Amino acid sequence: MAAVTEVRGAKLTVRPTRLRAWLLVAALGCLAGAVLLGVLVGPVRLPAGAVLKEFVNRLPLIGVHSGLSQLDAAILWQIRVPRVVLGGLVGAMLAMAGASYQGVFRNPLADPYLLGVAAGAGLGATLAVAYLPGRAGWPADPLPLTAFAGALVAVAATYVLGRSGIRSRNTATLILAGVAVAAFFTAAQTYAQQQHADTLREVYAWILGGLGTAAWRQVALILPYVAASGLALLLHRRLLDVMSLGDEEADSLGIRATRVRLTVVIIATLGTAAAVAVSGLIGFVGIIVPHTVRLLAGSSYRRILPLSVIFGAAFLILADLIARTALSPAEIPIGVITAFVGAPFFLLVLRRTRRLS
Amino acid sequence: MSIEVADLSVAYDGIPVLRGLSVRVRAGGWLAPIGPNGAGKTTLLRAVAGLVPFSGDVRVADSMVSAISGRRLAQLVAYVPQRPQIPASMTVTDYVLLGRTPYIPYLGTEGRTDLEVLARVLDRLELGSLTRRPLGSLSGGEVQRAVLARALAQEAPVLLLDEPTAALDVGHQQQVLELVDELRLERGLTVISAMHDLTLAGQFAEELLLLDGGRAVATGSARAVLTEATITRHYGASVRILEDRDGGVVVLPTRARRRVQVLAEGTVG
Repeated sequence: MAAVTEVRGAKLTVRPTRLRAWLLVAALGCLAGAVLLGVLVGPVRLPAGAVLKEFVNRLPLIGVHSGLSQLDAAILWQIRVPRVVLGGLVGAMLAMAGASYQGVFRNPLADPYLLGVAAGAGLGATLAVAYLPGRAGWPADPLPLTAFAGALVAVAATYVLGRSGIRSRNTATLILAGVAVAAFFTAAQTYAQQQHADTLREVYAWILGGLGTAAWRQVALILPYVAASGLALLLHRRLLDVMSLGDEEADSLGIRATRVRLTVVIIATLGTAAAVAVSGLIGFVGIIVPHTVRLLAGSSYRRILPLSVIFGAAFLILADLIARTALSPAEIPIGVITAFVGAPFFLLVLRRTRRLS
Repeated sequence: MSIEVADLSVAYDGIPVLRGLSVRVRAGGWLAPIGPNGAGKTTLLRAVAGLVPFSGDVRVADSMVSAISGRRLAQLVAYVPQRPQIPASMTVTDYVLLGRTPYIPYLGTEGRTDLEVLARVLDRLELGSLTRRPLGSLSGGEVQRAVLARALAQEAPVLLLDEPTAALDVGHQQQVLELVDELRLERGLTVISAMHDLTLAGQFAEELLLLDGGRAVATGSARAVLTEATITRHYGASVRILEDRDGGVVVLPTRARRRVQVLAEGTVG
């Protein structure tokens, strides 16, 4: 919606930055392409036409025969699709969390991985594996909860240690605090892991991450957290723009900046921890995706957040595709792929922000 | 709306910055707090804007600042800090629209009325041709107009400006202050603006409030407050006061050989 207001006989059109339909359609097109590649490519090549018919067949009220063999259909629905869906959920969550952290900390380098969230979640998950041996028999797996608690403690520690940097707008302080916190949590995690050598395998497989064990069960496990967290973050998109004015000016506009920051950090950390609990540690998604979106669509969070969801999903689906096909039949941990792209990207962003400030 | 400050004290980390300050500004008036660095000018503005905890009483019209919500206060008082954060890639439209925040539901987005106010404000401040430009591409004077536009979009009857002319050349200083004065008369705004330039302060404000060490040391017209003796005493500066042709006063800094002596007499409050 653009308002055309008549002022002194002349028409003045004001168009605030919003998510326009063409942007959304273009982004969804990219995602659809990534999804299709993700389900088609693999050791068993599935015919594109038949797969599309399978998808259409799942729509209500439509019955089409796809011609896929029973085995191919099983590969599609039990292996490829859950893996793509899980990758999409994790990627969307990490990208959106990265964008949100960047908004509330006013720091373009904030990322769940660099703020210590991942290391905290790692410690939480390891503690669950090591000290709750009977958890397999529990009605609900406590691992996501302990991962969440670990993540929250880590972010809180990073925030407290990096506080002086937030006030002075020094982007480095917060990141350095995150590095220190991550190192500490990783050390504690390694200690717990070595002390319970019998759990080493389970812990290590989790930490290396990846979507190799993806199944519908895991989708169901994280979907509620990711959906709730994503929705809540999207609702904060305009407030994130207000936060870009700094705490004092945001306060003078009737917003309580510290409260908004705390709320957004808790929501983003909840979603990230859930995602990390099933995918293991995957870095840099929260930097690569929001910054690419910024370059394409400008700096308003009203565009960055929704587009990060879509491009984050597409990005991780493609990264996972590379992870499982590059050295096929072996799998490269997906975090290796994202770091390959992400680390140079990080330096690029660092250079850019140095120049601007 | 009138502003009434009574016995206002503010301390940062236990260090007093304002001590028992009382001052009144009539509705539609313009008060300029002046004083040396660290005198408490900014703190006075921040207290009226509800941004620092204080003891004493601050009333805007009949509302106690400490008793109303931040949102309500933002509808009454618009505050422009000395160095506002300018997100370089944000467009002028988006930036000015942020001024509507006190009227937009917490997790909501703007409505028709907000866009209409936005269009009127952009037009009034002659930003109509710059609406889609990123703030980073504007000149200093244009940025100051955009900041003022954001404050006006709040539609608050009280406007607090901290050193509104600090970063501007002499021509833009005059333009901005003339604009503030026009808006004050048009909309009946009550203005409090902390000022460094004493001559400009005297020319535009109705009343000056000289602060030193967190206390009010002189209040009144430019002619009454801006005297050689007062300025020497509180700023440790040596100046001459000249008469303007229009009856105003000009504060002219002079190079004095007695400067050392003046400082030695102990002017630090």
